[in-house]
Amino acid sequence: MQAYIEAQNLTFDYIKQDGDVVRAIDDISFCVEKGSFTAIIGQNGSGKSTLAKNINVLLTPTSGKLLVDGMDTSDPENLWEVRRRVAMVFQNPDNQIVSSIVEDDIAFGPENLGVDPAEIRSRVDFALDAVEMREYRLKAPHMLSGGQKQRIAIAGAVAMQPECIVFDEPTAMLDPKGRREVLDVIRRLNDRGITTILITHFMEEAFGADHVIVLDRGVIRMDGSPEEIFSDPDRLKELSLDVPAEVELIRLLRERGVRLPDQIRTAAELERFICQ
Amino acid sequence: MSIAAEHLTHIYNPGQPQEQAALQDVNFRIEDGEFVGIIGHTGSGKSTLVQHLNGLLKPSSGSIFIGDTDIAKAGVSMLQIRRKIGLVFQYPEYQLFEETVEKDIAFGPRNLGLSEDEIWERVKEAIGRVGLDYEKVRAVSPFELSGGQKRRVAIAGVIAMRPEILILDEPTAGLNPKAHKDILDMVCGIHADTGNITFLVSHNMNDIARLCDRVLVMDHGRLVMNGSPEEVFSRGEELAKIGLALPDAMEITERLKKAGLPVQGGCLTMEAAADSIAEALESSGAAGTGEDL
Repeated sequence: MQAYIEAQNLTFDYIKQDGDVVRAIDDISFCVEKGSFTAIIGQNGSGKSTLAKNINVLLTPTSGKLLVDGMDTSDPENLWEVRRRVAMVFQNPDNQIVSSIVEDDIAFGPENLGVDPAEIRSRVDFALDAVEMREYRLKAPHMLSGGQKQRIAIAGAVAMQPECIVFDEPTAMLDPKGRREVLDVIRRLNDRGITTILITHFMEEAFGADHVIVLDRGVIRMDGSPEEIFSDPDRLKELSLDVPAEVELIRLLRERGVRLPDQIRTAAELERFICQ
Repeated sequence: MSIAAEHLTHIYNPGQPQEQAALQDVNFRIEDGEFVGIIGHTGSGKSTLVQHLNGLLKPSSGSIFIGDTDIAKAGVSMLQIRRKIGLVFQYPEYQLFEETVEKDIAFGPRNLGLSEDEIWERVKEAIGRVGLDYEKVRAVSPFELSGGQKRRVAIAGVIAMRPEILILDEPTAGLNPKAHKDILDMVCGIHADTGNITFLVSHNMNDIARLCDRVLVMDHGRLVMNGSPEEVFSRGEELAKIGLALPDAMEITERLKKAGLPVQGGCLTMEAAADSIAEALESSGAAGTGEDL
């Protein structure tokens, strides 16, 4: 087990126009393992996006430390090395697409790094395949569906050959089909070893992660496996969150006196148990 | 007040190579007090339909009746129509623009030409209806509020117009689970208090199943189903073909049914699903409800 991202007493303050200080992240510490899939959940305004921007060095800590692959993000010397390792994908694909042709858009990042043209070509092809959009490479992004556009935005991140991608609510604006497509792509990238951080309001998306961090008003309230986190629905509701539908059903069944073994936690396990 | 579409058709870019029929021969009639869900895959015509309901788009052919008035006809006062029909767009908080919450909400009523007293009475009422504290938020900049609160203020701006028909396009997109529930509770509360017609456009089948009296299903510009949630969601295979899912509760009970558990179908909520699964288990003697394992 190797920590890829490590926060040590990380604190971040925003200074408002009138000079007031708003503490968005308040003295948090956590580790993300290399190659893992970590979901960050929490209500609007809990500090999730601020944390994401700290990981990508769009922001640097007010106090405390954030280490990415052992590098301190507060040290300006490390800025480009950290950004090279950590890519970011935002909520709205329309705000992330810069070019009028899909493959040009994906090439934008590596071009800015001054990568050799032949190398750019191979990176773009690799990225197109990774998000299963090769057949759309010459299309105009604005003619694509929301899910397809978001996959192009992800391909743009992949072409930077990052070791880690931070996804900030990448499915919030998509319909159910687009959400599935994008999540499939995210899972496949994680399978290839990319350390994945997914910020989401969809509990079922977090349920599929290796590790879940629950933020509330800038503080980590829960940190553990999805099984641990989602076994406490009352606590989650206090934090304005919820449990995935299947977890809720299993709880309701137990409440109705149905005796299910403790290890049953998902709909698939329930199905196997009931129908054995 | 009722709202009805008769042979409603809308064609984008008629006569051009990009000509596209966004709505084709859509017919329905909604009566006073109904809570109506509109579902359909992206590109199915939901937004085009909704924009016809308050006259933002005019039909290529066909009619839309608000009460007895065909708003597709020339010479109809759109101002009168838009007073009656409030449309809340997706991510409505992007439309906030004023310095304070109360000024932002007052913008619509002021454009109606109401008296100052009437405007402020409506602003106060609307802030209360969306569950915010009038004294606390009235003088605050809307941009300093949380995401969920901003959305409430944006909806209050529409509520202050006292629409008889309220249309909400994905009002909970991007909100955390509690804010999601709060916004929908608020919409239901307004519906119950005012008896308005509410249209809810949503991709969330759980919400549609739980809240709606009637569900309109759009596909490729056509209205392909129009019925109660029970009727519409009993046609799971047809819905799957047009890219739509069932509510989670039905999805899970259907799977158990296929796997051989004699469970009653048609469960729209998780509570109903749990009841019917527990009952099926008891009667089949599987996964004993009485004995310890």
